[in-house]
Amino acid sequence: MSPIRTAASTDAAGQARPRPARSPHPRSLLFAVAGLLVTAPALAQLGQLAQPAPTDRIVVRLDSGLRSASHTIADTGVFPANLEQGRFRTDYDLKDGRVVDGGASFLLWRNLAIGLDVSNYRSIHDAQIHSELPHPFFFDAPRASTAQVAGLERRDLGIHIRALWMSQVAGWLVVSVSAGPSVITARQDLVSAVQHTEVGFPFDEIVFAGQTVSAESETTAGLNAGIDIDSFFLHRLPFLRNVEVLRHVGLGLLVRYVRATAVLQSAGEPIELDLGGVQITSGVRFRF
Amino acid sequence: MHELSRFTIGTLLLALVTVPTSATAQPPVPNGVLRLSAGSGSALTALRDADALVNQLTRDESLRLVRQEGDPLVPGREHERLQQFHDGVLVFGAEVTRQTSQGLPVSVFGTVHRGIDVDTTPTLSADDAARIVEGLSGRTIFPTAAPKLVVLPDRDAESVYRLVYEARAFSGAQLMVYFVDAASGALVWSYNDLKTQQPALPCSRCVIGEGLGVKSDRKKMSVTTVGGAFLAQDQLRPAQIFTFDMRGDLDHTELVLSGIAQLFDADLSTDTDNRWLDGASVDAHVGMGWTYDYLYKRFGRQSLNDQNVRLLSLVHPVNRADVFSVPDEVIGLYFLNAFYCGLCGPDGVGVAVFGEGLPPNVLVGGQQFDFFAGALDIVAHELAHGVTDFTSALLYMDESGALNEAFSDVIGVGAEFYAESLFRGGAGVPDYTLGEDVIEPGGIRSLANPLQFGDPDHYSLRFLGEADNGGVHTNSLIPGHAFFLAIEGGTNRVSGLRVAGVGAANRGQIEQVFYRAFTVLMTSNADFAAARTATIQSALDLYGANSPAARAVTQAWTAVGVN
Ligand SMILES: [Zn+2]
Repeated sequence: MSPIRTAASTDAAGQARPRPARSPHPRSLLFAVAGLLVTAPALAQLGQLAQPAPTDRIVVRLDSGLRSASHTIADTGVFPANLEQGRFRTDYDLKDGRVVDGGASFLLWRNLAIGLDVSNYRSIHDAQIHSELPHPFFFDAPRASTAQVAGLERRDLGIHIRALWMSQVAGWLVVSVSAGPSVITARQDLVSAVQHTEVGFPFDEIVFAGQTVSAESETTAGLNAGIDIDSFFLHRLPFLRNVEVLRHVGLGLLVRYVRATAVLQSAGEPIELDLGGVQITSGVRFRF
Repeated sequence: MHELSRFTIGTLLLALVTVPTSATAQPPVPNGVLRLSAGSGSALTALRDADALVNQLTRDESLRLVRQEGDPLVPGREHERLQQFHDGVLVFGAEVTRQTSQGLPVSVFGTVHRGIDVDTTPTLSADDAARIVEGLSGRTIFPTAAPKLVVLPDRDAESVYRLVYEARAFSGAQLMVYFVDAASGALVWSYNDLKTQQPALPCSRCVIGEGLGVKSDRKKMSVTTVGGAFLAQDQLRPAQIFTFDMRGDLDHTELVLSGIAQLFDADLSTDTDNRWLDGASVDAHVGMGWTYDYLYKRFGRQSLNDQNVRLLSLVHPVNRADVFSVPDEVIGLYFLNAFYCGLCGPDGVGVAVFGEGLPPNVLVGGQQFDFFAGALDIVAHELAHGVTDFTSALLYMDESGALNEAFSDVIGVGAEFYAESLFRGGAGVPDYTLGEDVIEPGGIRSLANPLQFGDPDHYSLRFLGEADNGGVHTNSLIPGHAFFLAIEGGTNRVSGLRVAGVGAANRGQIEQVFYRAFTVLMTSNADFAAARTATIQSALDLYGANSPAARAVTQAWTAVGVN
């Protein structure tokens, strides 16, 4: 069986929304670089106007949190059977997933810093398969079956380069805005083939017997933008005031939006996969 | 048509009620022929007395149970088929069907003979009889059909019975049934039992192939692959289906039909790339499969005998080019006909043969004749003769023969309606005309308008001559037209009586009513009146006394003059 795939993504309501396949890598990269070039001077100018710069040059961050990714994607495949084309359509219910995100930033000049982050998003989700198998005796008389598949995995590994504008809002509070390019490797379990069992004469029914799942991956470029709120108040707490090292340790919150599209290559038509979304993570900060 | 004295069940009842009916008492039953016809529409006493008579004859061992089966269409019903014997010898055409529900009788139909007085010790042996029949037919007797002793009621004289041998011989253009006197060797009676389409002259190796039918229509074929070749052997259905290509060899065809020559894989229709282009093979093979499907899905029947007997057909029994050099009887049977030969074939359980048609530039009666397998209604019609052979065995003569033909037309039309609902892009829309796909323009018979082909649409117009076994292909349109009216409704042209049909959407009801009556209620010598009673009984059983189906069937028979 050699399925050919056509792509359609759906919104959360499950309505099919066909999208044309395209190759986004060069354009996204250009967008990202342009964004960085445009954003940095603007942020610099903003800093000159108002905000005091932080005194520590390096901030290291280690976070975990959630990424919003609930939506449905669908794809269809065809396969030859009984002189016709059998078909199947898989609706993947993508879920919000856990994100582990870490990185470091380096203060270059006044409020302007550059950062490099790595994020890993993973979710386990279900899919519904609707398949049609042509009848052995008649044309245009397919038998239908449905099945539920569980345990499908989606994983995005992202590398985010950020230009940050950091403001020392208070002695213990640093707020940063950032933007920059991202490189994301998306990996998605896809149903690449379906198997049926014939019940036998009169061949009016089939039993869904299983599916072949293959992990398809693709690396693509995109954009990221976010806000960091880093607080270093631990050493101000009365009972920790004498712990000098805590002056370098804080807690923080990162809200990041990523926009990227991956095109997964499979046996047939490519599938466009939306990698974008908002993630909220929190964790520890170290500044030096 | 011969006339036999008839005692109604009322007469019988009268005889029965005049004597005590204790367990030991034997009610006097008049000698002669008793036609039993008691069902839900009869008086309760008539049914009870008919049932008592059957019980009595069974105790006497005059009636023997030959088949007992459940009812796939009416749960809880049982059907018995009993055959009459006299001193251990079968009485020809004497059978009874009894329908019961939880042990209580629902209907009793059939014929029994009383007062048979004939010695059942033959003077001649079966071998002697076979030699006599071979002399009469010029053919070797089927290996699977040795002569058997029967008691034959005289067809003209009342209460006259003879001990005879019954034997069948395929003579090339006819499947003759001979009755030879077991004492003198004289031929007592014979008839042609070849069920023709129309009167003479007028698992692991299973694959799906793509075929182009006679009308160049795409079809799927269930075939078998062997050694890289593809053979017309369907193993996907519970009954195996074989289509053999006789490659125009008439001698071989006749030897196969006679059971003398065997058939081998090499005789099967074959194709090298599984894209079949021989329309006759494609349509015969596919048509048999669809007919199997129709019988199963509509009636729960599993092949012709309900035990998944194999289906077998022969195509290309002759070469079209030979049409100008062969005798008329060969043209009539193998070019311009299709037929079902009940005891034919290497295993003696029946073969359908589909005629070759004529070269495109040759017309008969203004009509072109294509390969007969190209018409699904013809394929199903022929196979339905096999169903009849395994069930009511309607004698292929006079009214019972016309009923035999009518049942085949009913199944032919039913199969066409069934398949067309699934077979899109096919050869056309379903209809009540037989053979229109291969005999153009027009076809050969119309259940909707029998007069279109000169056939009677009313009992008063029935053919009374001897030709065509008593007009079996002509008079069949009377019950056939009743079938049409019961579904579609309408007004009979002759009687002017209007029938409220059940409507096309409910056609399955009438198909089931007829199927059930013809396969489990009727006996081999049923006439039109018996068919009326049996189909009405069937409608009552299936759909109830006040059902549209019961009303439609009753009105339809009345409209065509059968009461
Ligand atoms: Zn026929």
